Amino acid sequence: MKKYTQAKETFIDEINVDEYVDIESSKAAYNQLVHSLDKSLKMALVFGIPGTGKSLLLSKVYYDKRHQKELHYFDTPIVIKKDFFNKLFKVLTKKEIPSGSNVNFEVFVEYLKDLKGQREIVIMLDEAQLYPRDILEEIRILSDSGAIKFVIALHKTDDEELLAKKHFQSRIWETIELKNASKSELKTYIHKKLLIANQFDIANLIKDRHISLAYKYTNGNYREANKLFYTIFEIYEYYAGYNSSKINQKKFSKKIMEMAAIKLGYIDV
Amino acid sequence: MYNVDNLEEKWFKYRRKKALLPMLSLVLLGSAIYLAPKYVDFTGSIVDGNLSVNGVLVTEISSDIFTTKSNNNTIASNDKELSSEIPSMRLPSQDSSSQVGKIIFQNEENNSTFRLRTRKKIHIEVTEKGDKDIAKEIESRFKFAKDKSDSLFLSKYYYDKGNYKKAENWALETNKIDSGIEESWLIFAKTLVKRGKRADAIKVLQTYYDDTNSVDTKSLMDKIRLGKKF
Repeated sequence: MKKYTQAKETFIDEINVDEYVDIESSKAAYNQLVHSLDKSLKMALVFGIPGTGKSLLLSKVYYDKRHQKELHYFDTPIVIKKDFFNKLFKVLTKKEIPSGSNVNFEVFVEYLKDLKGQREIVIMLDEAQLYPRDILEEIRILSDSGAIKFVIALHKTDDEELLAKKHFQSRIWETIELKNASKSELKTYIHKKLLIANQFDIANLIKDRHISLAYKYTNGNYREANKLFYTIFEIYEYYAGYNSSKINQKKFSKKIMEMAAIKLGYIDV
Repeated sequence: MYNVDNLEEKWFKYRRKKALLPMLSLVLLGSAIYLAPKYVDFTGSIVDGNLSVNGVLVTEISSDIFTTKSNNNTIASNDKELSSEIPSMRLPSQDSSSQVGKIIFQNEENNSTFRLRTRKKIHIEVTEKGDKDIAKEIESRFKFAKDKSDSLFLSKYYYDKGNYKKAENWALETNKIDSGIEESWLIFAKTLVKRGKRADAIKVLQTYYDDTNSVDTKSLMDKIRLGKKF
């Protein structure tokens, strides 16, 4: 039962850079983003549909490079202008704004211009499509100062994405698009995830036909695949605890895969 | 934790539904094949076993032109027996063998349509294509349509014809599209037995049985194990 619990937990959909799975396309995106940090760009755009690993990519780059570069990662959008600039002020000056005070934007821009050539600051904004228009406009002006570089991650399918993209169009110099996994990438992803959790036996049981079925349900979306395999191992865990005769230890069950798909609504009954 | 037993029940429901789909598709496909051929639909009256057209008892071929309902192709049939023009005909309510050669067509006013008034309706189905042609047509259609009902039909067709290699290939094609079609698994296993690969057949069925606990699979597997006929 324990092995199924461990297998299940490896598919919990959370940002855990220790469990980052290196597959061909994500490696390419990672390298592209890291290289873009070294270039003299004002902005880099990471975009893709939900569940393609934008947040994980930003987190990974942040954790890997935070000691080499001055990186700041805003994982959740701050939609109130005052709060956003207070936070920005704090990360850049390492000082708190006195209570009751506001950041004077023009002075702040001047302050940043003075930093040009002294510090290379990178601000990574996740879910940037959720920022209000006025904040986006001021981010644009800040990036124009040349002292601060923004890496913004956007959902591809949102209307907000179009707005944000349009907003930054002239300043975006590097675009990194993340896509759903191909069938072979999905296989690598699932296997590597299980290997990270030391579940070699289970990984060996998952054959191409199981991956094909998982691909059919999830279309190669990492978040959906996580949900699917989490549910599969949750069902395995249940059977292991209450009715172990229903589990074939030598074969990965298509039946349980289908049950999980029914549970998640991939299959209508 | 949600109710896994309830989920399992839903799964059984899903499997039953899924097993019905190919059968329905086959029935539809069969109907389509049955109905697809050209029709000659005409009405006429039968008087003492002979066909009467517009009150005229017709006993000799005298038609020049008649039109088929499906494609309006005109077929000249001067002094020819209809049976020689059309590969096969079916008369549901009449003895076709005694009628077909003697049915005469007479055009009413113009030469483009052919209508007969009657008390009784007779439907004549004209089958232009043999089984072989249909199979070929489905095979060529499958190349781009990739319809699992087609491949399943072909695997059954070739199995019935005794072409086990082809039946096996088509069962595999079906399986490639949807590995959950039990009928395809069963045909595949049967072809393996027919081709002397009994152990492989049992292995295949065992794999499917492990996943589904299907009664039919178990039954076939037992028959193969015991060397019984299936």
